[in-house]
Amino acid sequence: MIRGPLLFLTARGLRPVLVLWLAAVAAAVATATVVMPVDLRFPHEPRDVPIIELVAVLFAAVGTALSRPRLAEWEKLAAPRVVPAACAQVLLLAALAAAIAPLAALRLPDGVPWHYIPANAVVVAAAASLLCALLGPLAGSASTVALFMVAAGLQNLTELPVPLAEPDHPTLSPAVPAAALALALAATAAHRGLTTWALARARD
Amino acid sequence: MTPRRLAWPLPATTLAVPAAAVALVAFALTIPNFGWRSEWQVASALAHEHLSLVGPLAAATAFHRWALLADPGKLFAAARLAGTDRPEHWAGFLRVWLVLGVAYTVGLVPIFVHTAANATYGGPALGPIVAGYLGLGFTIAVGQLLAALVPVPVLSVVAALVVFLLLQLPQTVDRSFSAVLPVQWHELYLNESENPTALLFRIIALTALTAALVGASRIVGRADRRVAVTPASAGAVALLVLLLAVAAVNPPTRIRQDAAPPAECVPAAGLRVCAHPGHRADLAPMAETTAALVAAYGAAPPGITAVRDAATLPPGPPPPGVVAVPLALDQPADRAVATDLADAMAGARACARKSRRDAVGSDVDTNQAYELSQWLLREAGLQTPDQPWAPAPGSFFDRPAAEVRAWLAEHGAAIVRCDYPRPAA
Repeated sequence: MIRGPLLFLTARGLRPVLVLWLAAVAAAVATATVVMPVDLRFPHEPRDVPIIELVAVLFAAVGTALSRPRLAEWEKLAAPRVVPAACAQVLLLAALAAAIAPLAALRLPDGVPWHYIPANAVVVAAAASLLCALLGPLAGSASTVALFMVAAGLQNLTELPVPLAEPDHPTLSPAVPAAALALALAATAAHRGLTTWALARARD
Repeated sequence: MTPRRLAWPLPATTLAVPAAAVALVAFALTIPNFGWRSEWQVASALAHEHLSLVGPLAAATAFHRWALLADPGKLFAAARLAGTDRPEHWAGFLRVWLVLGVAYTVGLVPIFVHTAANATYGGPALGPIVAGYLGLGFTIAVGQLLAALVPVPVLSVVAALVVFLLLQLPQTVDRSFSAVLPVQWHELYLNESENPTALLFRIIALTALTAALVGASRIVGRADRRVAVTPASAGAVALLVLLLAVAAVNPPTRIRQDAAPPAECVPAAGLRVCAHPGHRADLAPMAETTAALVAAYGAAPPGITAVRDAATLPPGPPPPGVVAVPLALDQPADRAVATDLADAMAGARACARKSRRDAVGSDVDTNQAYELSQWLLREAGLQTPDQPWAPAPGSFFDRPAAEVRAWLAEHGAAIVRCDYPRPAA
């Protein structure tokens, strides 16, 4: 019989998440050298998205959706004991998302920029946890990926301060992913993975 | 049929929200075209090119719907099977196709109206438009099959990404994928059209692929998960393999150029200026710019007889004496003519050819040609203010205009060939 944190994680769909993570790592290793060009208008510097970054973003969004609280009504009753487990789950997903690029980068030659990707994966995982809690798993994960695409486009076309690192300027202050993660953890501690509003909407 | 009935047994928002997104994205992608030249071959091709983003949306919609309906263990399976002998997989596919097809049309109608009002040549090409709607059906079928394989609604985002990457194949991996995929990643010029054979092949291939994918979504999603091999299904798979093999082994020539494109010409300061009827509005600025440059040169330059819109020329290099000016969709005609004709007058193109042939010693001529073309542009009042260029001391810019014109009258024929006269040392 499983109990404690493991029981919680199983109820949150840990197994499909791990399967998805293995698939993501395999896909990232297979396509490590492929880059999606994002070069929308000529004089602007391109902001290309390596497939390993895209896979990490996709894992963060879909993994968060897959591990949505399926027993939210019950979890909301058991608040004090659920909070650390729910926060641990957010950290676990961020760590798994951040680990994809370094694993795939073992196949890359020296000098190829990938070191900036884990920080982006953590920021996106935090955003996914916020959005999925607010909008529900489907709309939350879809809008996370859409937001990332928009952010890449903005980095290509404008000088706006987007809280993501770029391959050409891989200098994102570590405070940014830390702040994003802290925000996600604080929100999770408050609503434990699903806002009451989203819960009421899903119940219709 | 009411929207509620179309989306049944799911809530109406499951179709209404994606339909709104499809209409919005299709329209947003056409916004740049409103500021550009109106050409029918470009507007018609938008019906399949904009699937690059609409296709993933459609696939995600179909995925979400079929993932909820296909899983035999889920609540909706009962509603799906209530009618029993109706082929639900086709009903699901056709409903999504109908709703998103209407939404796609709503998004594209403004640019077609705008083109109808402004284009001066040709008309809407039916083939590419049909291929566009079939392509939309293809992306929906891909989404539906993926949902039958993995019926997890949350993975809709992944379905969208898979279709996005699938549609990128012709431009990232191999061009011959464009024979069977809807998005072509090629902008047609005014004197180009799609090869009817290739278009017909694509239409047949998209239809066959869509039918096979929707059929497979039924087989895979069935409660007993047994694959029934009938003569019809085996024949369909064989046909499909044959089609894909033909496309891979012998990719069709996709683009056809007019052998004798039409042209409208006017005389301008001793030169003939010609434009395609589709560029009729550009003829006047082209003639004006040509006249201004000839006035700056002093007389009609020797060795140049005509300035022609590149769309009026048959395939191959332009005939001698003709300056071919390609008019890109977003480029004003006077700018295009100004740079191309000034370069031709100064022999810059001949210099470029020459420096490719023998790299040694030609850079002096190339620099002179560039200087002369800049001087001509300034004399004609056509210099772009956003490209400041400081001439070297002792260049044409330091000499009186009359002296340069006399020099041009003497050596013009040699200059056009990039044989700049060497100063007597």
